[in-house]
Amino acid sequence: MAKQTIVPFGPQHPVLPEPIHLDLVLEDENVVEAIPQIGFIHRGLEQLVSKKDYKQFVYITERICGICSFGHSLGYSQTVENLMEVEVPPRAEAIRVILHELSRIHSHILWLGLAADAFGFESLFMQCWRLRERILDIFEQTTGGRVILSAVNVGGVNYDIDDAMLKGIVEVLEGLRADYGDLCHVFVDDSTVRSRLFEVGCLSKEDASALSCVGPFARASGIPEDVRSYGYGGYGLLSGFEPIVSDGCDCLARVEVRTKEVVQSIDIIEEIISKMPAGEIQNKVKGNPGAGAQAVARLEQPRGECIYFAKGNGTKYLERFRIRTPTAENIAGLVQALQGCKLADVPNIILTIDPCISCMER
Amino acid sequence: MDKEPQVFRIIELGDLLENTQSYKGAEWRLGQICATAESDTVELVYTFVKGGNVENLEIHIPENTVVPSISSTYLEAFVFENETHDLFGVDFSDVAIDYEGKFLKTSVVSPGNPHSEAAVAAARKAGAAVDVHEAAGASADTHENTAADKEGDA
Repeated sequence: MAKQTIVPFGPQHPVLPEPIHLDLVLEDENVVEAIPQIGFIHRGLEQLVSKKDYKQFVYITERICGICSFGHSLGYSQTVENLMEVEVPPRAEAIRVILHELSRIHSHILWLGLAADAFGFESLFMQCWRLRERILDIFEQTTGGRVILSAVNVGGVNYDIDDAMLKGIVEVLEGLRADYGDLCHVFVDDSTVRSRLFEVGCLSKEDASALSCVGPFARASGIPEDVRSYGYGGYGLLSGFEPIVSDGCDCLARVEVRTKEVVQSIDIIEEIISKMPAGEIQNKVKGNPGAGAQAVARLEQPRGECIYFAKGNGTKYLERFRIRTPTAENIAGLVQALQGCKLADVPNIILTIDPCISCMER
Repeated sequence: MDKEPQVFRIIELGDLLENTQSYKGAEWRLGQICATAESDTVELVYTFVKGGNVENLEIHIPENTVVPSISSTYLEAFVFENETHDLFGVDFSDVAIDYEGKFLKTSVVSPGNPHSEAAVAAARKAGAAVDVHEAAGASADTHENTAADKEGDA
């Protein structure tokens, strides 16, 4: 047996935008075991439910993470709406879906750029981020913010989007669709990209299922699990939804799934806009969550299924609020995917779960 | 618009492992484990997911109860169990990967549950440290007095 060496990876590493540490147990260049360590940026944000009332707290949730900011405010609002049995107007649900899918597009394109940077393709990284700017411009035009949108509240949304602006969104997305196709071709077909990703960091369907993996990470291992397919909220307006799945089980499959999901999100936005309901964008919410009332909500964030839990105590402050993020659910799968890989592939494999440590630690 | 069904079921701690294995056998995923500190108990909610269905098991445990880990059934539970231990002071037995309180770096011991045994012990230790400080100060004062006394004597 080769001599075993432990190499510390992170918490500061060029490929990691946020800190996570792994103790990599190596035999020569092969990873035998990876032991994760988190907790470097735990901020205790959930505890703030005792300081901010349930209407104010929506602005805390969107500050949990810069990339998933809209999704967290949406997930929180849906949980409190489940808790208080609040109905949301159909137009508000449709606007929520549009903004959430735009968030997915910008998150996936951002991630594709980071992946390109990780495997040493810097011009591809810059092209991805250049395209992403168009989505941020839509956010700015519709909500006034590029990162923190403050667009959702309990019972509806804060901003309406008029018909002219909806038409403008479709035009931008059609332009994006054409340019994005060229980038996808490089990600999926380029031989140098394939050489870094093909059959690297494999996670079998059985392992992904046994370890409860979620999101594009699980769908790239053949698991057709996507919360959007159950038609909750505004997704019920869609004529149908099929999760994007790949049987590749490797890093390349995770890239393919995300590239296709961007196009799928453009299709969803266009369908929702074509069926845009008229009417109010906000239902007034009165009263407080009942003492002992509990509710959960699930939301398909760009990185995968996110579970939100809230408990009321009869006052305007919640007793407890918790977020289980997709990264927390995918850590066990990551540890499995790292076993047997080469040391040089570790950064790529970590990146292909699209880890968000700020979300995970809150 | 459709909303998710809300299913919460209260069970006894002794039935946790059996229920967990039933969910695993029926191919449910573990969604999360959530702890909430109550006045003299801790509530643990285990969420299981299968397709569009979500079910929650709710357990109320007295302070300082050791909870059997479900990480032998669902490996990914080790993340939630270590987190719950560090934030709420709940002890789990036989966790697949046990960080022994070093999973999350918190400035306060079990910040989510100030009544937990770990938090109380830490507060006592902090109090003891202050006492030692005071004792050291008192000792220094005594020393100065003694020196002054000696000078006076001289």
